[in-house]
Amino acid sequence: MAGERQYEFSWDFIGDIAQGRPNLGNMTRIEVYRLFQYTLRDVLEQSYGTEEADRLLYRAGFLAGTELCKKFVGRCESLEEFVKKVEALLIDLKIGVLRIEEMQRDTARFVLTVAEDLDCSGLPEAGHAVCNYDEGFIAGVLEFQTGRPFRVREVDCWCTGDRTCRFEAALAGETV
Amino acid sequence: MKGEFRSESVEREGSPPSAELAGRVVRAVEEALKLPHPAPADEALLRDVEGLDSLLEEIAALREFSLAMARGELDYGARHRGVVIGALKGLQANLRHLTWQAQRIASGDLDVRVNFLGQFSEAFNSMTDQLKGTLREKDRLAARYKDLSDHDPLTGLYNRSAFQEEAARLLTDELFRERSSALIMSDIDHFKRINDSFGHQCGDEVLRRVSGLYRVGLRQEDIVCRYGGEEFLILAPGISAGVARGIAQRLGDAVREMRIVWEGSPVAVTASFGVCALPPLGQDGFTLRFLREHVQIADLNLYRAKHGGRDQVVGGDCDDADAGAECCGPEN
Ligand SMILES: [Zn+2]
Repeated sequence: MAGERQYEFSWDFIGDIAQGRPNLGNMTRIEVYRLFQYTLRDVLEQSYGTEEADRLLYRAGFLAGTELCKKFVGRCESLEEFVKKVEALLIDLKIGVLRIEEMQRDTARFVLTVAEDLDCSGLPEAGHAVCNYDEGFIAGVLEFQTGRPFRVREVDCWCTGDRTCRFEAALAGETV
Repeated sequence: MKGEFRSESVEREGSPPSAELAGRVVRAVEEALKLPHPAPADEALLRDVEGLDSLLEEIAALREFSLAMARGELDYGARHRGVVIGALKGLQANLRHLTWQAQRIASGDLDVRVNFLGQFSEAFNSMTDQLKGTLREKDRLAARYKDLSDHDPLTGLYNRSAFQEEAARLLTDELFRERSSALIMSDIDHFKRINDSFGHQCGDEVLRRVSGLYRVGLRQEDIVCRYGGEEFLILAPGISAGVARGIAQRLGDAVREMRIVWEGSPVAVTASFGVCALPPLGQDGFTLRFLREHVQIADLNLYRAKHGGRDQVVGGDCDDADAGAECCGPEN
């Protein structure tokens, strides 16, 4: 990469919202969030192709999942306690309704769903899953607690006609 | 358009009119949706209808998925997509999550809440609330029964078995494990005489008052139990027999100075004490035998105090628990 980095993530970029937006506050609309994500996705795809754009979103999601857990959840004694906190946080921040369907401790495989997802719920059917950012996000969340690298794949998505997004997670290197 | 049955191929000469063909297509779809075992739509005529095959295949997948769900096969993996199957997948996801929630409850987490599936979630949540309430009540009752079964109802002091449990806990505690401790056995003098002269109610009052004195006269870490009728056993962890002797003497003073008036008459009460040193726990750790042997020595010293004229303390004159000393060693 040429030169020094200017945008290595830090919570400073989130800024002092109370001071910066005394009248508008810390809320915006989903349309704005999606406008941002899908315009960025548009230009990423144009510049790097679909697959690479998906990969970049996955990586950004991973970073977001990790940072969010670092700041709002912290590592927990048990996986169950951690999951409970993450569920509560995602509802609190209105990111989506996370639900665990399956947790195989021995093989570290998870199946989980996110309903009312921030990225895709309500989008027209596209015939393919779109929540690459969420995939990375969940991978980041799981790695944060377990210390092990996960690979997450969205198997059902609102955009494939399913009413809830379903993700399968397994340790990286194993087939999801 | 995909799935259009008025395709060119069926407008050939000699073909049945469109209305008839449409009717057969509708029947094939209807059968696929409604009959338990629909016949395959393999009439040559229908084979030409573009998209019908894949439509029927999707309906078949929908049937299979619905039937699997009806059978309760929550792991059924539906490959097809679309709103109807998607809605079923949503239901499947809810049920699968519910299974997980139930597993969480089974493992003891009663804070699980369901916020979907309408009336069902209300029932589910009220079930976990009830369960939580019931368990809380059970814990409360268990604690109360434990308390009742651990304590002597008259004096509120530990009974023998609770004393043994507590002694085991204290003597193996990091704080006291490697230190000497002491046992004090105490008996109210001429208790039978008090009972005979003033009645059993007065005897009970004496027991209660003496217990109260022992309770306030001891350190927080000491434990005391009603060992027998008018006999008390005290464990003072982490102190030498010599220090315990001092404590016993103070308790004896307090008993002697206690003022009890029963039906207008003063009741004179004194107590005797036998002290015994408890060495630090050996390799075997805590055993009931270890405790019993030392209680016997304290009891022997109490016997000596009685014989020596009562209202006195015997034992604890020598401070070395390992010395096998006359007064308090196990060899005596
Ligand atoms: Zn999705």
